[in-house]
Amino acid sequence: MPDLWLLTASFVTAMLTAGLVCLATLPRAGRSVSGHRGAVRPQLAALSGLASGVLSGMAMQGIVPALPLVSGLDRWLAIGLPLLLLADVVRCCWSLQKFISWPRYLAAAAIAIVILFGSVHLQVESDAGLWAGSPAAVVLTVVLSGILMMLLTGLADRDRDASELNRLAAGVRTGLALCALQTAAVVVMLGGWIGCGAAALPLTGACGGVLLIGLAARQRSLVDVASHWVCWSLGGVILLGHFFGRLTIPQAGMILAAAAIPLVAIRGNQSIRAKVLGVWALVAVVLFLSVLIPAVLEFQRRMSVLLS
Amino acid sequence: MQQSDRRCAQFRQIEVLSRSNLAMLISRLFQINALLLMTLVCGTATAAPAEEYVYDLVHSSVSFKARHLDISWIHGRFNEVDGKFSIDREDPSKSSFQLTIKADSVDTANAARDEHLRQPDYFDTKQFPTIEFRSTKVKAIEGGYEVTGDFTMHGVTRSITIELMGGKAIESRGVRRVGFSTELRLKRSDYKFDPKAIGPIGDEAIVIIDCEGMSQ
Repeated sequence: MPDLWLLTASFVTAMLTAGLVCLATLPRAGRSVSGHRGAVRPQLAALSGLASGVLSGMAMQGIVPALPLVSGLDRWLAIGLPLLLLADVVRCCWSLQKFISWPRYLAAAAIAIVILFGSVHLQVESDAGLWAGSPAAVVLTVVLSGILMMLLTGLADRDRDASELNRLAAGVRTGLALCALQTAAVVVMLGGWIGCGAAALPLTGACGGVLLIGLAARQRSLVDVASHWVCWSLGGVILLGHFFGRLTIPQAGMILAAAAIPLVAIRGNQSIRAKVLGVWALVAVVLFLSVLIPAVLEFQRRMSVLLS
Repeated sequence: MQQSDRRCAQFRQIEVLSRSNLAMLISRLFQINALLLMTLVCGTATAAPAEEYVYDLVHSSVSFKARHLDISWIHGRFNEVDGKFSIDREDPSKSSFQLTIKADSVDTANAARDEHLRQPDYFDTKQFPTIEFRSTKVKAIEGGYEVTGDFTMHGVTRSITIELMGGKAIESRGVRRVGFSTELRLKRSDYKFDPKAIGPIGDEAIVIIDCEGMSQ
């Protein structure tokens, strides 16, 4: 059984560290540079906050990827996340941001291969003849996983206008997507893979920390960074949970729908109050009634004998 | 008359000569055949072919037990196992043993626990579908063989030495059979299992292999 106090401490540590690092680097970055660079620095501050938040949360739990990186989770943590961070830094530092979002998309698509590498899902033949997927099935798995990650990147990329209303709208959308990420982590844990859910908590906490600072400091670019990382983390947890854990396709679909509903429905050019309430209720219903509660009931039914 | 007598004598001489040649030829052939036969017989006697067996799933088992809360034992087994053995009675160092266990077939008589064991906190069967043993060195010992080999589990390969007791072969219903038993102790932490998942289940697991091989 997971240590709930440790998990909570890891989440809070990641959130506080990410927020504090953001705060510490943000004012200096914002004041010292103007123009395009002035917009880029907050994003770099957000990325450094995210990285330090995730690392501190993982350190709290003692999560260290085992070398060589043979498991999907280790590859996701040690290759996938740094790759996405690098892609985001490259995109931030480049002067023509609008035209070079491709590093994010490429990195997101590559994550699918990083996660599945060496697993039975990419094996066409095996020496023992125990696993042998058809080449078409392997290609389909990689392509669909890559498309999922790219779609999530695309969803986070929507609506980058930096108006005040948009910042709040983006904050609410990202917050609801964060709930979907947290739900995915809990469902994967309830399915029996504690390590994956536990590793997702620092990510959730760090994204939450950056998001809160973005909203409090009225920095839309921070909210954007948090939005992308929530989507990528969600994609990673869903791929890991489905291909290595017991996250079913209906569960994954409902969680993705819950994340996508606010990202699509809440737009910056509308008054968000009434709409947010409606979307929030819808997301809550989707997550709690269709995913979380059935997962808890199933966990109690299956594991009650073992845990009693 | 004289001429015909001379011709008859010549024919007889030729006949005698050809008979003696034929006899020599036949005797030579016999000699060669005997030599070949001897060579074959001697050759068979000095280098008997190694006995080849395949793992008999019906009459074999790979089971394990691990401590629960350090007060009792949890038992389990792997239902899908494959393997082959080559036994050279004359020169045991030429023998070889291979065993491939499908990790997904873990069975502890509780479906929920089996599902949990298949996940990445334990066996991670989607990443590491098999547990394998490949012998690298075989030595005859009293009552069996001492086998050193590469044991691969959870993506980690370690050299281990096991004592395979048995090896007696019998003929049953036209099939030659051989049986072996062994028991080995493994630490899950040596094979990079998640240390957090060790908890109530002990780090050490005892694996018991009782296997029967059938001649191919």
